[in-house]
Amino acid sequence: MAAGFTTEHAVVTRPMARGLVAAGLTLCLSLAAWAAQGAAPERVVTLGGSVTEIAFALDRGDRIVADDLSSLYPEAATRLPRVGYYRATPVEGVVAMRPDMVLASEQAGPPHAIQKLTDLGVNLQVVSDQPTVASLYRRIDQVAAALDAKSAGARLSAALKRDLDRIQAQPRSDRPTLLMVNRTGTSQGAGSGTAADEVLRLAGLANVLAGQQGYKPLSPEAMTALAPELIVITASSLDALGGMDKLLQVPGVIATPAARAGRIVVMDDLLVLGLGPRLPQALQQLQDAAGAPARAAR
Amino acid sequence: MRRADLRPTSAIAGLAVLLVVAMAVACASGAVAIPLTSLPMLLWGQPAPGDQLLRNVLVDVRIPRVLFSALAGAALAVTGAVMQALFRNPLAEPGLVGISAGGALGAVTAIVFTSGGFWLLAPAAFLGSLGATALAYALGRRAPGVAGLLLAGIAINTVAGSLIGLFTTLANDAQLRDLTFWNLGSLAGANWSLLAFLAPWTLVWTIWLARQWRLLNALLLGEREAQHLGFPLVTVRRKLIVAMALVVGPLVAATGGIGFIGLVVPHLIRLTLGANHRWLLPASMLAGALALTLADWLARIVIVPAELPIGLVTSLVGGPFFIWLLARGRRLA
Amino acid sequence: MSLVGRHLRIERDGQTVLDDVSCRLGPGEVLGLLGPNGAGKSTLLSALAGELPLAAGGVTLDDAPLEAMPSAQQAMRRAVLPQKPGLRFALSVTEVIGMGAYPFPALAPDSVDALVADAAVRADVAGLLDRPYALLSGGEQQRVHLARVLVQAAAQPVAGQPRYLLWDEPTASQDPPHQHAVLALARRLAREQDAGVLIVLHDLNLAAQWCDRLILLADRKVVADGPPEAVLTPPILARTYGMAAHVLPHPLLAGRLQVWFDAEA
Repeated sequence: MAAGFTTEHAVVTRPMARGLVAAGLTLCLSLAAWAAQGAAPERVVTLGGSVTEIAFALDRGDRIVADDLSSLYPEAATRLPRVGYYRATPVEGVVAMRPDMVLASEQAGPPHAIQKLTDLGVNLQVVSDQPTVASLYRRIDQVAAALDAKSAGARLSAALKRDLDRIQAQPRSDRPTLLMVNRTGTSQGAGSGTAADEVLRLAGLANVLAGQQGYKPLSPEAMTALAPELIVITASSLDALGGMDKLLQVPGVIATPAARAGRIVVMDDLLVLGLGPRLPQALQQLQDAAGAPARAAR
Repeated sequence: MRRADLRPTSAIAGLAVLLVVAMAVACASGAVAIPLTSLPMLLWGQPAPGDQLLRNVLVDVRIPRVLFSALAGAALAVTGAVMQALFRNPLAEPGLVGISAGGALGAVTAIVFTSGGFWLLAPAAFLGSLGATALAYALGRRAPGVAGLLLAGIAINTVAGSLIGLFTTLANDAQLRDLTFWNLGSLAGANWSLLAFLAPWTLVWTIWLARQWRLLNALLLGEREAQHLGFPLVTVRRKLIVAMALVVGPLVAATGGIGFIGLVVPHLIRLTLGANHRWLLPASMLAGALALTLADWLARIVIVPAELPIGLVTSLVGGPFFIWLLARGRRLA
Repeated sequence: MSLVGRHLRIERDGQTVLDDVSCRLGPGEVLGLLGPNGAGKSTLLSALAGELPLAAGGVTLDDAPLEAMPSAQQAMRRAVLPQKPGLRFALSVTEVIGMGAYPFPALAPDSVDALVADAAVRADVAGLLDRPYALLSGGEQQRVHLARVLVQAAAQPVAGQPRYLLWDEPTASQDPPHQHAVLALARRLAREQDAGVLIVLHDLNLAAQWCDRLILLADRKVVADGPPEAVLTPPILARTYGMAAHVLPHPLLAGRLQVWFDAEA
């Protein structure tokens, strides 16, 4: 065969052939890029604070068009349109955002709303959301896969594992700890089966309410009897009470070893009430608080 | 038509027209923007592939919900009027005999003590409301008149409330989650299969209640006088309470309990049309349907894409309006 | 064919309120029920209305036992005018009077309207028809209920079946003209419609003037039962009321009596 091939009407020379191949390759690459772009969702609605947080951590926050009221971190998430509370998901509200994907925590509901969204053909994907570290890793994988950010997901998981291992390697202080929240006006303490309990355990602390299931009201007598040496309270609960001074006036608190030693630590809600990507931060903060020398109560 | 009947009849006709308009408006608007002009095509024509979602939202989400809100509003208002006549007390409403608290207790029991699937939840709530009402009725019979029933209802409500509180403390996190789902009174659970059962059932009993207008008028004179006019009190009291429990029980099971409509709507009608139950009951049905349809419509569009809880809307809107009417100085009874 | 109470004994809270009381209300007569306060007049009326459980004895309406008769059927034969009108409610006078037709739901609306109009005239409330009931005076409200009872008595008359009317102190809140008008109405009902009308009264002279027969109750028993001249005698009245009484012929009405009590004696 000659360097170029001829037809009756045209002569295609070698340079032309190379140009054609280059053009063809470029076309194919563009097509591939376009196809890959089509696979990653552009308009995502996230239901569940932890889901939103992970999506932002994977650098996909710009794809989120709406989230729910429990999505409190990062700050950018709070500026997005809110569809409501993820346990009272409004069907039309979600559909109105024209999502090409809805990432829902498995705790989102009510069940008939989730079903209706699926029936309407919305691309709804449910992600694991249990108060365990295993669920956290699974959630990161699921969100990463859904948002086409697998490598970012792997990096996040790896960093998380590294930090967690480092923190777990430290000796447990086993300091008796009480985690209290004030969501409804009465103080409640976190027992086992809650994310808070898991956080305390991972931080090497001993939950004084380990014998209790879930959140239960906290009586002043019980608080004194439990004698926690460290009290953890969420930021919003402290605000609801009216500040640290008001907390110290709550019956039962002032008599605890924690109050006397000044070991009361205030933590971000999402940080301590759920297991999210910032878990190592939470654990470190708790370990520091547990190991800090006693201060006189203010 | 007799001259005296002209005013209430036109009022009822007017309410019916308003209701149809309100339902149409509620169907035509919501979080998802569906242009008014495309409604006929979506409902009866062949929508384009891109519009299929709009059509499904309209037909499977919005229309059942509007129909449900009208149905629930009518039933709640008419049972409120009947309760007010039965107890001769403007503060009476169906919850007084334990219907709502019983339903909630049934639901909470199902959630906390069983695996709590949805198909268990609704029947449990229904049985709870019927059981509580039956118990209140049986206890109340021991005292003459409706005073006994009232006290028994209060007792049942208190006991149910404490049991609900107790079971709630026993619940684990997942069960608490399901409880919150149920408690957030909502019309969002409406779908065609629910309506297929609930609509005929509710309408049958609601219409039966509306036909008892003579008895309820006679009760206005007093229980003795009602008896003298030929209404056997013990029997009719039982029948009325059974009918009300059968109407409100399933509604509570499906919506989680919506207050205010049964209390306020009959009063508004009474203030404008008088206490004659011949007009009061049908007018309350239409006005109740209108009120709840509008309330749910507002709940859906005010803070798009989120929705307001329906109970919040009914009290926020109904309360001040009612106060305004009272401030004008009209008679209450 | 009468409304008969036989040997009635009524107990309330362990106390005997009526003891072996018998009475008979026949068609076409006006029967006055008299007695001091607390004698049991309203209780007897309630018993005849079928409202009270009987410790002993029985009530029959046209020879049928009352307790076996359903309320709806009783309401078609017997109408009760209560002592105190009901509480306030937002109904018009016409609507209240119209309730007299409730035991007869088959009646056409036009017939009910005619009955209401007629009854309103007879009870002298025709000028109040469109007024709200709640705004009337006590006496006017009582006459509205009287009109209601008239409707109940006149609706769907059945040949050979007299209606029985039980009126509890219908003259209590009325001025003298209306007092006489009510009793004149009772007499007309008895004569024209063959109704049996039992009226609880305090005023002996009204009773003497208008009633065909009187029953005097005292201390839970029947003291006297018969035409006025047999019941209204000084010894009976003195014994019953504890005051010296004089009975004289009525100065204007032949055959009628007048009673004077001697309070200063």
